[in-house]
Amino acid sequence: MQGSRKPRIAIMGEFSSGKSTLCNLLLGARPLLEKVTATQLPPVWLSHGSAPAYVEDLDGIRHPLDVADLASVSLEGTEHVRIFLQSDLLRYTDLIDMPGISDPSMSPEVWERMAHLADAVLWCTHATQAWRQSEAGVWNGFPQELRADSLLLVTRFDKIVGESDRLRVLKRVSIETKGLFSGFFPISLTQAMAAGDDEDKWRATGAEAFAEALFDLVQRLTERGLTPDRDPAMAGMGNETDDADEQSPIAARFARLPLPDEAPAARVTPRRVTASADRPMRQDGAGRGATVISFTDRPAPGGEVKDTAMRSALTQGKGP
Amino acid sequence: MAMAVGAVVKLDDQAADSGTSVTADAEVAIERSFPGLAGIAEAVHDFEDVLRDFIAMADAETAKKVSRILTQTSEIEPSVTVIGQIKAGKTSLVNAMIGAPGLLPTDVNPWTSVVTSLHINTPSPDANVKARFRFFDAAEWDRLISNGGRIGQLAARAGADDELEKLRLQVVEMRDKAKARLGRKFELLLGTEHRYGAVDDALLKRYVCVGDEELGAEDQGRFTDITKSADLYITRPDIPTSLCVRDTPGVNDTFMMREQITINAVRDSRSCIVVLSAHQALTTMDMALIRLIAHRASREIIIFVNRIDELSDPATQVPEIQKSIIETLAKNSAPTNIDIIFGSAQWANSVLSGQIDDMTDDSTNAAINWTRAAFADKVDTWTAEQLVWHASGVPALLHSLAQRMFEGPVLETLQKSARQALNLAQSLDVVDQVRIMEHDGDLNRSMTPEALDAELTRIEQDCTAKLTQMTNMVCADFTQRIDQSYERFLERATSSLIEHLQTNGENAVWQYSPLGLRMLLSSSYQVVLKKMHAIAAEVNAEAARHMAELYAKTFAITVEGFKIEVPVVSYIPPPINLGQTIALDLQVSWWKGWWQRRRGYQAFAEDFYALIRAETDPIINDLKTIQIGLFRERTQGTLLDFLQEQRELLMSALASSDVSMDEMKELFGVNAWEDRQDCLATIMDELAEYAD
Repeated sequence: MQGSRKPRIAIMGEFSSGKSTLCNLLLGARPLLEKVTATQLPPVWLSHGSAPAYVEDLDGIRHPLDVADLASVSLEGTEHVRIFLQSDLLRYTDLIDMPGISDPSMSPEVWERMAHLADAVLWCTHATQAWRQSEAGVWNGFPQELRADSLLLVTRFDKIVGESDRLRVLKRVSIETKGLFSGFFPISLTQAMAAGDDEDKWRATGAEAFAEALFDLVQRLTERGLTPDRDPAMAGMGNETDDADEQSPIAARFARLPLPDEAPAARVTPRRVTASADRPMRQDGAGRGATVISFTDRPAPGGEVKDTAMRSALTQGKGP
Repeated sequence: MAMAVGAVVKLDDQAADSGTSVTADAEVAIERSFPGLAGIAEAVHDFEDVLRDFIAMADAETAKKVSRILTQTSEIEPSVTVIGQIKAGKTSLVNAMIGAPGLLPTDVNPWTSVVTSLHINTPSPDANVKARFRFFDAAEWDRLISNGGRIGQLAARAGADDELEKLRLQVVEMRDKAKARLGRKFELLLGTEHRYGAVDDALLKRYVCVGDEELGAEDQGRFTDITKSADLYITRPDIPTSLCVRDTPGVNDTFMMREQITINAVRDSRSCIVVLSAHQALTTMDMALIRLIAHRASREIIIFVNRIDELSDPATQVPEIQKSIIETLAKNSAPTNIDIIFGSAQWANSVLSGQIDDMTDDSTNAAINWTRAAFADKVDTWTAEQLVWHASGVPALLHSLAQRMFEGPVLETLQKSARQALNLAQSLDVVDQVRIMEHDGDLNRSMTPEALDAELTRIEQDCTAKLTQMTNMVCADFTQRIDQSYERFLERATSSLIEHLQTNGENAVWQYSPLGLRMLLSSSYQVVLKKMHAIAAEVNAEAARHMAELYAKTFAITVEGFKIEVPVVSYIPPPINLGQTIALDLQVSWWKGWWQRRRGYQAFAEDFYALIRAETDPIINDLKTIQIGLFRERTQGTLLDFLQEQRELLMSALASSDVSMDEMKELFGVNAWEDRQDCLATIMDELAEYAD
């Protein structure tokens, strides 16, 4: 694979701050454990495809993994777990679900050794205790370029009751995280998961604003062109099977973001359009056409072409 | 003296009198009863009644002494300090515990920045003062301002330049804010205090809240930056006893500068409630809190897992959280037999303010889910208020707390007082026996006051000399042991560092856990503590035996079962600095600065050794000087007080035994004198129950 690779977005935050829920919202599937108590998993790197999952140990050696045994993967000896999913969002970006910081049972090394792989971070902070010193301490250790591409999600925002209290929390968070993220988004992940087809509910949860920002982020990263590095796992993975992808509400929003009318029809896939055609189409983007974009299930042979096609789609997504 | 178990909520009587001006808007919609605290009140009252009986039958001199003991008993104010991370809900919990939602101001953003001691039903030292706010003194303020306090020192040692810079900015901001709020001459306020005759919301907001200028209320937080502590005296007729509840600012926020203040607040109380947030059971910051208190007896700690109202399925999640907390405690060598109580201060406050219908749907669903699991047998019989009140965990918390207070400070004070009173009564009884024997012509008295004085002086000298000598031996042993293991720790840490450098090179950051050192120091301290207690007990018992012998010698009698009660050594608060955050506890990110600036194994090893020394020396010194000094002071004080007390008793017994039985009968009347005998016997029996 030459040229560019997909962005890798890491999901981070203190434990129980909603990282796994976010992951599930993004993927539309529930592959990861969601628990109130700290989830004891090494970093989980999620990519598109149907290749078998594996565990990469600290010496870089890969061992096959039955995803059902995910919970039993050793924290100490594992650099990361790699899982391939037929999930539509993963066509655009890889995700790395990091273990939580501030877990007294886990050394920070567990996530530190993977942190350099991330092109951007979605940082989850729990609304009722948002942005603590321990979070700031870790985040300040990340390079400025990475922080500038990252988003802060103020999760469980529904737990703050009352408009004025919500504003005050957001105000404090905005002051205290000034210059540390490219944006912050109050969101209720569980309510977004439950919103279903209810457009107003979905918006009210904050998921729409976040989906748009994430779309812009992926687009920006892709446009920038990311230098491929070691990732032999992706070699020969261009051709995916025809299994239907998991449908994720966030990816569905991606699929519905408007493109100019002249968007090349060749890339428009039947499937996602069908999936989203049930919903009212968004017509409101000023100066934008209403065509719904999606990314093809059956790309031209070779990942390179797919990447190019995707990039051009995203570029055009910027639209006049 | 068993206490009733199980909180009872009575709904027949609406709105207990709130007792403070601020709670007028928060009518207590549920009358709470506190079986645990009521048990304490009852035990203290019963004991006081015995003392009052004693006063009633005693001569003027004795009555004065018993009155002093009575005062000591009525001053019992068991206290508890509430600690936790920011926004764990400490302040809401404190309000719920004392049944006054809205008493201490709360907010969605971190809000509390001062240690506030709520003295419930305790008379204020100055009757007209109901609120007292102490400001930092100049030296404390300088320390905070000049280098960001302890955290600044830490950051400097760990080489965390970014952190230091941030701290510097915070400090500048804090000083500017103080100046803007209080005027250029605000420094004149340092070291002073403000007092008020009443407590109200606006007042509290001026002194204990962070404040939020942009919200318009410019007076909010006006004095906060320079306020060190607040003492509020509040009357709550529904709480049956005196009580002190201390609210502290959360750790893990910009006020981490104030760690030392939290440490001191924790030390001021025998019991401690660690408030955790249910959605994030036990983080590394919480572990730092546990560390602060880990060297205390587990009975002195209660964990309250707050905010279960935010869980989607508490019935399933609570057991999971509990398991995880216990595992984490065990992994970190913290005591695992700590009581863990789950609940929601928000639910409690909703019940207390009669607003359970205004709870959010999620909160209501969580409450239903939890009551069905935890109070399945009560669902049909209790009202919604009762169910939510119990689901809040606050009654269980108060009960658990009351039991600890009862078993600890209350029983100790009662025991100490009972033994003192019993010795007084013994002395009266001996004199009476002497009179009877004298009357019967069985007495052969030879002791003169001068001879008795000489005997007493000899006992006093022997006992104090023995205590000092034994204490010195134990201390020397302790100091040597601590120094040795400290050196061994430093050696081990340094050689482990060198080994790391040899295997991994200089670029890999390395960390060495101070857990081992803390455990070592803590266990050495526990050992010396035990030894010191044993020494004190031995010398005290010996002193009591000598005194009993001296009674026999003085009055030439042997009274059956006569003994002098051994004095109780008062409680020694745990070491202050053992739990303090030291550089080794810091997150790896802090270490990177230190690490990146060093080259060469030798430099690493030497600097590391120096760093650890600088960080741990204060802890060692604290143990060797302050703690040991405290111990010497307490044990010697107890012995000297006892000896003095006995001297007075014996001397006055000798003097008063000159008054013959006939004269006594004349003085009291025959029947009264016999009554007095019975009465004294009864009082002694009753006191004996408390003395063991």
